[in-house]
Amino acid sequence: MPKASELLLLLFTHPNELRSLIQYYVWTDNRDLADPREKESTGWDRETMRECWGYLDLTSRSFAVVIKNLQGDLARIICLFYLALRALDTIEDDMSIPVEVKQPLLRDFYKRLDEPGWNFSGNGPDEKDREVCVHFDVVIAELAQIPKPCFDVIRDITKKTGKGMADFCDRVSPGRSFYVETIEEYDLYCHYVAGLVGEGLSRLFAATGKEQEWIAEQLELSDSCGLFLQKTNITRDFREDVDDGRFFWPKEIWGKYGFDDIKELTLPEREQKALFALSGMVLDALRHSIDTLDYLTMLKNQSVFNFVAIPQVMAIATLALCFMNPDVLKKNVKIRRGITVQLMGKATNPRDVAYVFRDYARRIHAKTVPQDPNYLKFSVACGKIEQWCEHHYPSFISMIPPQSGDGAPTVSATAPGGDARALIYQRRIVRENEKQKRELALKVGLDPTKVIQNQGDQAPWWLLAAMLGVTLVMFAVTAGIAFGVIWFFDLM
Amino acid sequence: MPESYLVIGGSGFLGSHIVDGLLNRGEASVAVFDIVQRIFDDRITFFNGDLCNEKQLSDCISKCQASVIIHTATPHPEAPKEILERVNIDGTRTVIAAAIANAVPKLVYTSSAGVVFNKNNIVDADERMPFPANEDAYNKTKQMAEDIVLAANGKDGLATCALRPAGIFGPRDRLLMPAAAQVVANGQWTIQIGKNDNIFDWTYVDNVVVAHLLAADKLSLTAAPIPNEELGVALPQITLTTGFRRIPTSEAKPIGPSPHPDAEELAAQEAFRDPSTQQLRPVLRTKFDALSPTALSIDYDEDKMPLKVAGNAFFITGGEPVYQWDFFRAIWTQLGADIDMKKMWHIPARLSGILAACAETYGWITGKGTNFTAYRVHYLTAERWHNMEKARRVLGYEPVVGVEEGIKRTVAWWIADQAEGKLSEKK
Repeated sequence: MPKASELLLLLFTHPNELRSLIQYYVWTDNRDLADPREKESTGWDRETMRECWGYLDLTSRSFAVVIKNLQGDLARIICLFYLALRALDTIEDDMSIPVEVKQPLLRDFYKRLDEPGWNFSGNGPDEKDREVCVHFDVVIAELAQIPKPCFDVIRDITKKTGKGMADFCDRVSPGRSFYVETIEEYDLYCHYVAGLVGEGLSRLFAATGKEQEWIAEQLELSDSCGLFLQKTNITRDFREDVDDGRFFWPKEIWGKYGFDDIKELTLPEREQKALFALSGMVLDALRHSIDTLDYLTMLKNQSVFNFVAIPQVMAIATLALCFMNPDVLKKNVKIRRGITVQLMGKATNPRDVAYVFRDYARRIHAKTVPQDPNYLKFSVACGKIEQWCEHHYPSFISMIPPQSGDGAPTVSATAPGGDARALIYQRRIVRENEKQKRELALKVGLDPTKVIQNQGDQAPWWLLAAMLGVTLVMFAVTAGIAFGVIWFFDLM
Repeated sequence: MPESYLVIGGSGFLGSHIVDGLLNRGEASVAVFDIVQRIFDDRITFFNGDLCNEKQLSDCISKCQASVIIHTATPHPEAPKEILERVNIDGTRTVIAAAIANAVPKLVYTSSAGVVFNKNNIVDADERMPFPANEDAYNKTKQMAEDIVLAANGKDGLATCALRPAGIFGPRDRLLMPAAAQVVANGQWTIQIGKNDNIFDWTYVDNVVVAHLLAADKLSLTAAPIPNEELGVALPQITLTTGFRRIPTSEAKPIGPSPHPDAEELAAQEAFRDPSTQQLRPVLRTKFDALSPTALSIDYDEDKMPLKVAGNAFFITGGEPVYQWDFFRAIWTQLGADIDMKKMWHIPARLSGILAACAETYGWITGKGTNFTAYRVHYLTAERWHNMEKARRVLGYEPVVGVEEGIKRTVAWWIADQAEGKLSEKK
């Protein structure tokens, strides 16, 4: 829960976000891990697993909730996957470990996953997630409990990630003037630390039977989802990383604007050029936005969908916040908590996610300036998101009436200036009706061509004739009965 | 046997580029039929004549032995109705009659994306869209001409198809650049009508040329439609302007800073550099999609086979629609305008519509006319972009020049052209 003072401030600055926050805390029904009926999948009955859940809360600020809400034992498996990678990351990040010690540690880390009792206490005291490494033996104990195919995925991804981190390791050592030279290297680094996570998750979704098996083979889309998140973080964390001596922005992007050293981007007198470099970073991240939307449409399981979609909508919102924002060069920027919970509520189906992307793409586009060398590239990139939305989920067809202003905008098909596609669907409805009638006619043995001629709102002649005939017959029968009754009483 | 090409309207903006395209790919037999000659090149045979005169046209066809006719002739969109009707309708009828009389096997017709435009928002429009009732004479006559052309498909061995390019621009275009130069000269870039969240298809002329040549090559009455199974694999994104970069995966990635790459890493790098190993992606088709099974079963007329070239119309675009004002601002900027977005006057689209109506009335009463018309306001604020998957699948069309590069080339041509003083000469 945020502090009361923050909430009070929010009441005056963004009251609708406050409302969202309150609704979120009052109404959201998160999974209760301690529920004894769920112990099979959550492992809450084991001391070691309870500890693992605790480390998840400790180390993951935003994703603990979405991980826990994953269906069945997928939550536990992904929790352990997360902790294994968190440990690896903590070792990679720790500048106090000498490179020659760090590299073999990273490369061989995957071998420790089935080495009972192993843990690592060599992290510096300031390393924020060092506790996971110090008590890693509980993660190992729990990894022994998950199905073998899942364990193999985690081991494989950890092996590849560790190798990649080690490859890039001596670039991280302090005193280097730059870290990543080309965009290709930047992509590769992001692949090692995030793209592989995407691959691993797809494989775990498939291995647990939550998603279709072929999703495990969609490596490019899985990687692209990971790259989108990682690139957003790298873009946002610019100042913090530069201050720590980590230079993730590739020179190929910022070098174009006359900078020799990445630290020069923080100079106030060169802010304009630095903002264009930042825009280059945002544009590069946007490259993955369509892949992300494509990936989301392949998912079938609701809990998996939410798990994948929530970080993605946060990422596009973060990109929009960072774009052309001088604060990125000076300090840490973050989307407000109220917006976060609003976005979480929308990240439940591909249509809404796509339109969230569209809205933020428009916000990014609204901030572009013609002086930016990437001006038209942004127009094309944002245009792609617009196209994706309208192609897959046409806005003029509204499944659910939009609620007071925050639903996807709908274009009425009939209003002037409406959507021309309506003509296609009006014709389709007519044809579908005809087709149904034809099939019905064939079923009852009538000539379909004649039935079609009588289509429309009017009842066909044969139906009218039949109805008239039946009426006459009934009239005759009634008259006959009446006549019979009268005749009978007459006789008496 | 090599084809023999006749480009009707080959002196025009698009026609002349098609002639260039044919010559550039080494075609030996290229003829032009037009009322004026603008290209003087030894490699082409020029025929001067009137499009509505069947005898002149027929003579030309028999003299040049045309086996492919590319019919691009059309008047200026704002030409008088009589001229539009004469060229677009009568002219097209004449072309078909002359083609059939001379047993020409192929006719490619340049239609226009305007055939579906009627002050609607054109959003992801595909070829299923029925023609709307149209008051605009240009769009209406183009609709009728397209109908005439496609109805002639299969008549006496003639195969026809129609291409509908959207917003063609490029060197030698005398509509877009003079107006842009005017805006820059007057400093009129400080106003924005509407929210600028409407995307718009602008198609660089070379892309339209590519589509015409493909249509000429693939047009055939006997060719089989493309198989339905092909529709299950996603087409690659168009990345001409944003740039293509392959996503590294554990199976295909560069070696990077690895100190001692092993055989596996070398193989992954090789795969990464080889475009043929690019991963195939499934395609999501909702039932609204133009090529979804539902659409294929019900949205097309029964005699139409949408997956064939012959008898079909195709939208042709650059595949990179951009926000409308961005397109103009990019041109203005390259012409030297320094557009300060902070000093932009934003006028809502509706208010602009009312103002334009007033201006038009005033212009009508005073007899002065106005440039500020409701049509232009709509043009600036409407969505207008098309789905060209059918062209990509059936014609095998892929744009070759992105919108950014297209603008660069067009502006470079304009500046050079102005420097040479050609403009005043031609006027």
